[in-house]
Amino acid sequence: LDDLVAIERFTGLYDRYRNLVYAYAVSRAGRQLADEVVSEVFLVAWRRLEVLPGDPLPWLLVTARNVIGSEFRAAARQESLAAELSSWCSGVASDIADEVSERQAVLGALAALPEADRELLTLSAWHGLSPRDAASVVGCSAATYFVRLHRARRRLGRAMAGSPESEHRHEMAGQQERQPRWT
Amino acid sequence: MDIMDLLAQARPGSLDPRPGTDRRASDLARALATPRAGVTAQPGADRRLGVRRALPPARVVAIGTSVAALAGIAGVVVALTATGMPAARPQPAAARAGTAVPPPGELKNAILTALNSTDGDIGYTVMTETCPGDKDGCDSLQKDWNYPIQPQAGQEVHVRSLFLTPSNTSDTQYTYADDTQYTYTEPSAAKAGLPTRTDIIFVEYGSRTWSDTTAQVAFTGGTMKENFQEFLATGGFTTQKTTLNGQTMLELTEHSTNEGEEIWWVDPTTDLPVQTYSQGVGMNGEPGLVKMQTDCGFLPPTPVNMAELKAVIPPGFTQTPTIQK
Repeated sequence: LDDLVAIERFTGLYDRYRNLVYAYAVSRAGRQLADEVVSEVFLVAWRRLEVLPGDPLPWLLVTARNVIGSEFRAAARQESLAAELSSWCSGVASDIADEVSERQAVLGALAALPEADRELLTLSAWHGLSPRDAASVVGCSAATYFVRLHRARRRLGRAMAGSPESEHRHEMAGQQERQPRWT
Repeated sequence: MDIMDLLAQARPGSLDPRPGTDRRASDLARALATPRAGVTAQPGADRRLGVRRALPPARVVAIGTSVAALAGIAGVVVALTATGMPAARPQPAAARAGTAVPPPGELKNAILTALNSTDGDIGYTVMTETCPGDKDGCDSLQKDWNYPIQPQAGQEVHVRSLFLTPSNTSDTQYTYADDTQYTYTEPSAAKAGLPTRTDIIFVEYGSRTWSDTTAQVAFTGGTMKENFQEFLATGGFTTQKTTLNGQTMLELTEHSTNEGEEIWWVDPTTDLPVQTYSQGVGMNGEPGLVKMQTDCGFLPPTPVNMAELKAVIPPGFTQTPTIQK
């Protein structure tokens, strides 16, 4: 690519996808590290601009995933993530008590899930990826992704049903009936 | 309301950058001050970065694997055995040949114990995927060989993955797409799932080329044991004795009306899984969006079986320049 064309393409890429990469970084590593992750991801994207696919979001999120895993000490990442999850559970002001309760139940249950489940669920629900793209981010086939998502949905449902904040137990009847019979 | 809709509505505002903290200028300046790299490529990267995988050397390009054979995928394994594939190691018979289904707790422990006994084996799986509910389709057949099945940190790991897609000329045949051989050192538990330096031989049938490269690859696919443990942890399921391809099996089924279905068939004489079937749901709970069947084999690491861990470069394929990541 000609340099000017490359710069134009890259700045367009940054403007379009920066917030999406940031959101993913927050959900995986917390706000304390998110800006650094974003900066590193786009540095890699610039260096490899020639090979970026037409729809670059999965590629950018895979890069973010790798950056999060390799560029930060595990303890620092866990600390930042714990602070983030804690903030999700502490609630946000709202005028409608039911909405707060419902939101608390969902976020509390999500925060309590294993990290892998949380990633599967949020890739689709929050980051807007298609199942195929989400599968490519976590490094599995579409079919495997669906199976894992199915399991994660079940665990989220069970966690919500067990949450004291849950106002939606009646809607989770299907999950409640599926309590583990093997312990 | 569907659970995914609830989750979408609960998206925290913290995922959006705070006003006044625009780092655009500094991020762009940092990146643009860095030289761009040359053209690079990543074998098979768009398909999957996580791996497990493996085929007999004599089989080249368009093999004709019938859908009928795949429907009973254990038949495929039998057929391969008959044409030169190594047979699975005989397992000692367990005292489970009666008609009674063992109590769940006992069966769970027996299966995990049996899986533990295969840690030094070569894992062999044949996986078929169909996506009747996906307009883009996802039909594929994948054969994977892994050695060892449960690697220890510092141990050299060998993985081969052979990927086949439906033939353009027939609905009932598959064509080789690519064949990849990975060799890497198992990272420590703390670095599990992170990219690790991996030697790769990648054979691409479409372009009739192959490459020999080193890249950072994240091996995120769980082992069979991990997969089974995850299945157990998912929740309740039923057990019964049934027949699969003429053989008595223990069938473990986990399902709910609108949440998909997962079945494991376990050989009661070995307590090892022989086949799994999963039917996933869509983002909004649409049933039957994807179906996946996996045949499982456990092979002793004999020289003949170990040879299956190497990708096959068919005659006439040309080598592309070595790529360094």
